[in-house]
Amino acid sequence: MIRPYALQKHFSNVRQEAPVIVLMIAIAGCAFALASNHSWPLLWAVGFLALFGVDTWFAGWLVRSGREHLRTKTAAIQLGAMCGLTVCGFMVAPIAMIATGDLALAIAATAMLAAAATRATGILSVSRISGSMTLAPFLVLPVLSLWHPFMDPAAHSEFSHYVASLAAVCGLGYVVMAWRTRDVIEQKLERARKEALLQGRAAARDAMISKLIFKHTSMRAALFDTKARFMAVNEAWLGAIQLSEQDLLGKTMAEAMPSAKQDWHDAITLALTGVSSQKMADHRIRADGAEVYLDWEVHPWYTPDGKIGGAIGYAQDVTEVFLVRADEKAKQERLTVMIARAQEALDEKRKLLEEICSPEVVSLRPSQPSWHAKLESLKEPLDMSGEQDPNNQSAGQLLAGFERVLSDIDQRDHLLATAVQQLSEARQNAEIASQAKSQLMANVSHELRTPLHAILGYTEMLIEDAEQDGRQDAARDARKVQDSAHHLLKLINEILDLAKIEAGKMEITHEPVNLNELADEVLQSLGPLAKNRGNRLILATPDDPIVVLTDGFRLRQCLMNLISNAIKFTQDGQVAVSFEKVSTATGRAHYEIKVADTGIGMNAEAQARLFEPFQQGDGSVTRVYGGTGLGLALTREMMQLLGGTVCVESDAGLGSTFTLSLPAKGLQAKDVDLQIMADEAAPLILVIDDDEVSNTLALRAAQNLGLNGAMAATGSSALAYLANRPVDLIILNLELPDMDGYACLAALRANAALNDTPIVVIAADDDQRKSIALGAQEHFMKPILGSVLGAAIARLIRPKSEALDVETIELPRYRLWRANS
Amino acid sequence: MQRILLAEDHDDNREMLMRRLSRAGFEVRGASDGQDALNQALAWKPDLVLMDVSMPIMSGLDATRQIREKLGATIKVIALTAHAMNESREACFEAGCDAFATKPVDWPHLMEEMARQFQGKPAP
Repeated sequence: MIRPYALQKHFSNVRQEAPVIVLMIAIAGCAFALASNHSWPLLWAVGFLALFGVDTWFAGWLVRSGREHLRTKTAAIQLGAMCGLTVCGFMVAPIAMIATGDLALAIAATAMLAAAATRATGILSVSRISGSMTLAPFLVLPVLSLWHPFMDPAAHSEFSHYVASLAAVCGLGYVVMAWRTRDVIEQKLERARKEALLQGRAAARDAMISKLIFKHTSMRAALFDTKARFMAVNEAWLGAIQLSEQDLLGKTMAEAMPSAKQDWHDAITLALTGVSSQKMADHRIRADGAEVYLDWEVHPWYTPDGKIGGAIGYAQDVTEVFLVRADEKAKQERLTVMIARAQEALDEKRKLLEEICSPEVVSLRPSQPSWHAKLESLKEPLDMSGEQDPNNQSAGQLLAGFERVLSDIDQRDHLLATAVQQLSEARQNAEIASQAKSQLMANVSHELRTPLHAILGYTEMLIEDAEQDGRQDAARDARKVQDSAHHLLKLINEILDLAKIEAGKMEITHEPVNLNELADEVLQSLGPLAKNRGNRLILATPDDPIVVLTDGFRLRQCLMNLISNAIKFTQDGQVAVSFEKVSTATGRAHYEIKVADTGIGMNAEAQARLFEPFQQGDGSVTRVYGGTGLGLALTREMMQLLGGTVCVESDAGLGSTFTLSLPAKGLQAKDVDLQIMADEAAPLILVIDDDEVSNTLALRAAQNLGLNGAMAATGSSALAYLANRPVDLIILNLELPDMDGYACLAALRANAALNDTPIVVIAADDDQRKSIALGAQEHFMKPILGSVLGAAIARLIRPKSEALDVETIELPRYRLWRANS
Repeated sequence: MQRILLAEDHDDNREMLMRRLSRAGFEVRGASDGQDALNQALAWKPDLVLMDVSMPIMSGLDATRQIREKLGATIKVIALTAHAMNESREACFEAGCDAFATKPVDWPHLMEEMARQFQGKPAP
């Protein structure tokens, strides 16, 4: 009934005008008192001001009392009564003045009344009831005052005219002011009304939108008041619980949904204290018994003045999502478990294998069943018999396959363990036997040599004595003893060598061996023997020295055996020693040393037994020709150690040819660093140098010419590398860490495959003649400029297509090539 | 006359070598074990010791070590052994022997070696 905004405006107006009103009433009281010579107008003034104060306080109280109350009729009547009472209090003096009959006072009083009436109409804008009640005294009291005279009409004075005039002017002024104030108030009211209207519309629209969202959201939503009673629920909520809105509104959760879990009620109660709560994927049983998973949350909601207005709850059914996710998670876990267990099983297998391969193999039996149990347990997470889940089926197949594989591994492990154990035992036995044998041989050798020492020593003394005394018969006999003792000693030495080889204690060295020199030396030492038997010794060697990486001492021993054999079995014939480099179809080059005699030869049967210990061509041979019967066996064993072979071609009566075959490479080619810097088909340069700076210089020169390069830090590695593949140019530093540079050069030139490969020698001296004589094309003294080296390479290297057809040429190819270039 | 101490446990061999060495013009004394050889070497201070390696009481190598310890390099020692293995050769040089000869002795070779030792040349 009361318009709150108007009331507020009115109240603030009254408060603003209060000082003026108080002043005017005080003036009016004093003026009336002076004019009427009575004191009561002063009392009135005081009484009215008190009433005015009460009125103002009351209006303020109303403003603060809240909108609810203002809307009631009671408030309007209260306001009207209060204002009416104030107006009545006010009118007492003016009416009394009018009643005096004094014209001036009457005019002044009327002006005051008019002003008061104008002011009072302001209340109309606040409330019609209050306004009517306020204005009512203006109709009633003047009438009443006509009937009741207050004071003596005759009592007035000259002075009162002035006072009355002043009062009238003041009253009129107040009227004008009041009118103006009212206009302003009206305008303000109008504006406020419009704003309120706009606000109201916006609020209504907001409310509508909120309502629509609330109503139509798929989320279940419910609003509760401060007593936890349903204020509103949306359709989604109603649809989920199958109750109507009427069943819920105004009731608490416990009342409306007694079957619901207590926790929601607790959450709402908590929200009313300002605390939110929520739960994800909460498992709940619906009223119809269905299991559902809900995401739900409950929050407090607030009134515009910041107080908690109640609680709002949301809920969403996530059952499907939850189940899908849970399924995914379960599968993931299952897979993880499977993988982990498979890993465990494999780990166990690996451990087992490690154990098998360890020295403690004897204690091992790979039949430990624990990983089988693990495999079984793998099946647990898979419900193999259950639903037709394709995942499970494929996993099952996988598992079955895995099981088969592990089973195979197990079986193999078993075999492996057995085999390894047997091998290990066999090896241990063999080692023990071998050790014992070589120890025995060493001891036997020692024990045999000691008496031989005495025999030989005394015999030699006997021979000396006999010769001194001229006893030739005795000297001859003693020489027989001496020969037999020497034979026995040789036999012991060879047996010892064989024993060393079998025990793996024969040590082989690798050094560059000049075959020409070696053969020459052996033939010279055997010259007297050959002469005794009327044999001619022939050595057919190539002009250029052939240098082989091998054990010179052992090779000499082999050669000595073969040649002395040949001499022994040949009478008045010839023994020819020759050697050459042979390339087989596979490209592997090797050296062959042939010892051919024109002696008695042997048949195939004898050849087959030839290399067995104590198996000379004929049982009687030893007696006739001497020899230990171990030489060829030892030769075969040592050639094997040197990586080569020994073989024989012979016919009875037609002589024999023994061939020693020696690999051209005895060392690894691993130390050669091949760098393909250009096209793979481009010419390749091999740099043999252990100095990195020189290597880099040479390689850079090669790179500038568009060639590929290979670096060998040692001569032996270069020789080994070249045994397998040719290069197009070689740069050789004569200062090599492992062999003599000239020996290396000779060895390079001994390789027929390198016949037309130019060699550039870099040396610390300028002894050009020696290098060129050994087959180098260029000889440079250090230091050498990259440009000079590059020019030399460019000059020497030629496209492969231009290579000469040298098959028919007898001279070494590189020499011919040099002549052409 | 150069003085030679022959250490050899085998009686026949010792007798044989002593006789041959005497014939060759050396003053020879014999020792039948390593300890005996050491004592005589310290007392008699021969020019050269022919030292058998395998001997009772003290081995030839131990005796050589002690001789080297007490007398330094003043006496030449040539090891004699019936072992022909490589490692025994190295063991002899390690013990301080100047040269090495195998038994049965190659007499010309031994004479050559002794001559070389007396001339103060190292073993080849």
